[in-house]
Amino acid sequence: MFFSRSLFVLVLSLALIIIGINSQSGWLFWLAALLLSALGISWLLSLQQVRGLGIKRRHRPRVSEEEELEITLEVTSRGRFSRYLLEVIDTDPRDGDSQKKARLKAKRKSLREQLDMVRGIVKEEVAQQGERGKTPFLIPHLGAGGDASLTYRRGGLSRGIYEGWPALFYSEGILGLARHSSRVECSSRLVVYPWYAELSSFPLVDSFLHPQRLPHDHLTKGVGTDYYGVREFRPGDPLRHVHWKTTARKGELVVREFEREVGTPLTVLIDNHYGHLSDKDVSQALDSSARLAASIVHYAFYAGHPVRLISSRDREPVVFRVPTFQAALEWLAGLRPEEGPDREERFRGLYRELEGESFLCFILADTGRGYGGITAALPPMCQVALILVDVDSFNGNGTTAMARPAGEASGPGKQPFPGFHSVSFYGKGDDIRECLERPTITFNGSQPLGR
Amino acid sequence: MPGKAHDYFQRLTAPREIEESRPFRAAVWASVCVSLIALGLQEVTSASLIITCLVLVSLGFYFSWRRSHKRNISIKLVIAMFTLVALASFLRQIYRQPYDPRLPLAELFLWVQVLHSFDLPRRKDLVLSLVSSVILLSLAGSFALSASFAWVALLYLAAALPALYFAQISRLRSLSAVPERSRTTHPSRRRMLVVFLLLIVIISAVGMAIGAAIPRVSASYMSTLPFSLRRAFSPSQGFEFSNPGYPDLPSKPPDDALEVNPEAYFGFSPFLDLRARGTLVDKPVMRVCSSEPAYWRGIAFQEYNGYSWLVADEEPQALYAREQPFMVEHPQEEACLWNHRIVQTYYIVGDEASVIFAAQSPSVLYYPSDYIYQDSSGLKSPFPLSDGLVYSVVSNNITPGEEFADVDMEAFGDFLLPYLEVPELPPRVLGLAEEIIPWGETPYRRAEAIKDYLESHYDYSLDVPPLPAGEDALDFFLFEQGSGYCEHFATAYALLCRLAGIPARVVTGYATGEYNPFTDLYEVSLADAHAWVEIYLQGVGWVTCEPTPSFSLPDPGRGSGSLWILGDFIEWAGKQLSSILPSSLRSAVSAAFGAIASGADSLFSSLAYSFRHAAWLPLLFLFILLLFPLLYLTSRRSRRKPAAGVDDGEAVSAMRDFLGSLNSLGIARQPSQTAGEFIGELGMLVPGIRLSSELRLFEAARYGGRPLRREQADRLRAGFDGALEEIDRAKREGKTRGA
Repeated sequence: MFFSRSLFVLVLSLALIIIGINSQSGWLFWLAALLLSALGISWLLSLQQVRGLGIKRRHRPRVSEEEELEITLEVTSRGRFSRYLLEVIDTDPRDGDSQKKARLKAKRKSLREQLDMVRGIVKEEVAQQGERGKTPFLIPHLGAGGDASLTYRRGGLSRGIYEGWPALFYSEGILGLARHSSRVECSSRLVVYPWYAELSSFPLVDSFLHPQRLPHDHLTKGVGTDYYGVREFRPGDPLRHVHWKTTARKGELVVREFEREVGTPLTVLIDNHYGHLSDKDVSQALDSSARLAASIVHYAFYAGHPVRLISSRDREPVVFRVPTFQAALEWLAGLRPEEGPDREERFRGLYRELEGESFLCFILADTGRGYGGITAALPPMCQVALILVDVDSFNGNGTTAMARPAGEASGPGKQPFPGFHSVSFYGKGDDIRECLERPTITFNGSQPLGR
Repeated sequence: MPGKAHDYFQRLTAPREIEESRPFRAAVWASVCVSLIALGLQEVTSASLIITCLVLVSLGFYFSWRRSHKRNISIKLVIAMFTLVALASFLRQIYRQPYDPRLPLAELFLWVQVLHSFDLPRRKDLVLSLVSSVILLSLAGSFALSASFAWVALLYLAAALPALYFAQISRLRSLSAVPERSRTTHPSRRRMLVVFLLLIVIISAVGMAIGAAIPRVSASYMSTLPFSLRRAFSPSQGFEFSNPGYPDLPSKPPDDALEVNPEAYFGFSPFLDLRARGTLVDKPVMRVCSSEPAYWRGIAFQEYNGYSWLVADEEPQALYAREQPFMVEHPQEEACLWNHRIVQTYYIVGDEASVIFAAQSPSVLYYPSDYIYQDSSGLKSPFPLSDGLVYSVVSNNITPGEEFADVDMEAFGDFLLPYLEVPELPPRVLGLAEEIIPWGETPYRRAEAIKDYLESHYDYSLDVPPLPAGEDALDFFLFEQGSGYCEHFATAYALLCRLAGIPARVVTGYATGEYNPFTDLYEVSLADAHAWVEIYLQGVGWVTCEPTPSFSLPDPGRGSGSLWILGDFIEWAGKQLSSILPSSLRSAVSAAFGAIASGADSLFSSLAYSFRHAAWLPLLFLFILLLFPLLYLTSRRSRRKPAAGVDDGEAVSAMRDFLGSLNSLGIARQPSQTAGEFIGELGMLVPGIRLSSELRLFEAARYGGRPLRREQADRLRAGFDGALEEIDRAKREGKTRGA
């Protein structure tokens, strides 16, 4: 409501009153009153500016992390008075629950930064569109009952499903002596898919590929050639599959059905138990886990393997059979961290969902509390690839708690159990493609392949 | 210069954050110019200096705009040098004239403003210039003695408000991002003009309301009160009374009645001729800034000779003061418990007699002279008072009240004997005195009885017949004239008091005048010239009494003496309004405003009284006043808090997830289908699916406006998840119908 300029006007007014009292100068009281009046009017004006406003946000409903999202804000005024110098601040989707008030303050620049700007090395850094965080826009005038629209691009989006993050209105009135802001909930749904790498190989999947390795440019393994039976016609069925004889006999369209080629199923188990860590660390580490999972799913799904994603939600295991890659991305976008101290107990719950014959890719968060117990409790599998995400590398100072084996890989005697295929380590800034294509340790029978 | 130091110097002097907005510069320039003009109008400095400053400031603004992108090191050095010179000049003036620092301060600010105008590259420099213009305006305001300063203040508002607006635009633009596409409008110039005019009107109106409501706390005043620059005078041969309105005034009353000059009061002379007839014009004579209203006393008369009053026949004593102030002593007066201090500053407007006006009993005087004169009639100036003269007085004042009624001591002392003397009076006057004086009462009660008699039996009138030759003025007033003006009432009261054994003297001076709530000054005009009486009460001292009907002693709790001037402000506004209205409406408007003013006064007096006697009462009032905004804020906060329930977003989200998952299973909802229709179809598609309760929850939240509680939202999601599992199983087992 009031800030440094308001305080200055207030102090100046009080000083004038005190001098007026001391010197019996009547006009000083009136000048102080004029200043206080300007302050009060400015307060009321800024309050009026941010009331009775509506906003709609239009954008594509789905977008990938690496894409820029074009957002259009449509502001409508419901009041009876015009508004001047109104700031519309579109918050970051991740700040949806933040109750922070809007503040518009220039970033304090160091002398060196200022000099660099003078020399033209760095351009004047205004709140550029696409910058992460709040993006303020100025509406010079909004008539009574009028509307305005602003279109900008926002980049740097993070994986997630965002259900209507708020927009803020901010005003310092015409005179700039007081300020007010209001928060308007804006119902718009945005799904940000995790980024994924298009892998050229993934050793775990490659190890169980069908001998006739399929080229990766096939979208699916397609429909097989072995006749399975007939069924009713469904929209989309090719006409060449219509079984005309049966159709004529039954009086309705009947098509032939062929067996599908089915690959070896792959289960991707994603650890989202970060209970004791801060929000920021969790968010970035889980985003990385989702990207790793998306990259694996992309490779395996288009290689023709049925893929299951397992994680937990609300302390219960959730299994998602991937029907399409886009559905997998959407599922991964909605992956949220879980709270609670009983991490190992929850993993036991997740393990119950594993199918014994399945291949397992386990994306495990290394939170610095050890993971031996978690991996030891894994049920017997054909092959397990463990991908360890170093959560500590995502904290502020970038330190890492995870000891990565450098150069020499572990010997065959150290293989925890026969099905343990490989171990990959992923930390902040690492290349996902390299992490997945070249695991840090690959247990190949008695011959581990080190990096 | 070594590399590092050179680099630092380069950084330090590099022009940065340059303000490019020309309207903003122009508006700040206009504000500064108005503040300079305001200072010039108050005659604080010479007109030539103000004009020079205006030219220099204009040049400076233009220059700093043209060179805003340059380093301007030499300019900065020159500015620094001249600032030091201005500071040295200020200190020198303070040393030479330490009594009122406002004048040198005004000059210092003036020069700082001028010098600063040559180096205004950034927004913050311009804002600083705007702030310093407010200070210059305030300085001008502290010198302003008339309500016409309001026009300057309005003009300043007209310049400063756009400056604030343009500063705001410039600032917000620099902080805002530029959208890729936008559909926004800019306000037209005409619209902004209307907005600014409206703002000026609203800010002025609200400012007047706030100004009228600001409590005028009487706190410690400056140790040195304002007075004109000292004039060097060598002591003359002795005091010679002079009154510019009566240049050939004799020292004794002439044989014939004094011819009245309507532009000067005849009472400011060594005698007060009761035969004089005539009226005075209404021209301003002085403005008085006082801590409370009072009568501005001039001359006290001691002796009555049947047709005029004479000052005591004594030689005035010269009072010297090498350093201000003059300490005025009244050795024969005793200390009084009822004394209270009144601080006054007199701003003389026209030419006046050589009388130093002061509220009742002056004790400290700041006067632009090395010496003054003092006698029993009051303080005298060695020169006639002239236009522009300023002096200040601290007086001890006694406000008469009922508390004196119990003082039952007759006055005694040799110095009082002249004030008890009466000449030979006609017998009927003595008879009347015997009749109206309640001899058994205390002196104050006796004086009150005389006053009551005069007020109830005689009228105030300026139209009185001339005093016939040989007639006693008192006798003629009491028994023939029947009405009279202040000198007649004062004469009758003083002489009757003397007959009642109460020392009394007639005093001439000015009545309080009209209080101007803007300047906090009393505007005294020649028509306020007045005569009243001082009576001496043993143990109390000289007490001012007002015997003239239609006059009353000023209420110390009104005007500048009151904590709130709202009542006076309303009264003043009523007078100003009625002066422009047709005469038929004037009295009604004045009466209405007077009633409102009395109401406001009563309210504030009650508040003040309750503060003194029951402090909890106004606190309770304040608490109740604050309670409403607090309740409003609390309710607003509680409205802002998210409700304990879950809004329809959760229901929509659950449904959307459900539909998305179904879609991935190959079961899609047609856009034309309602949720109910789709779930009904789902029940047909997959036997055993029961989602009626979930549908009700969804519809209640989505369309019924009934937010879901947490457990309801969980139940909805669980229901959908269960249905999904069932559908998935059914599909795997091929139990779906038709799909």
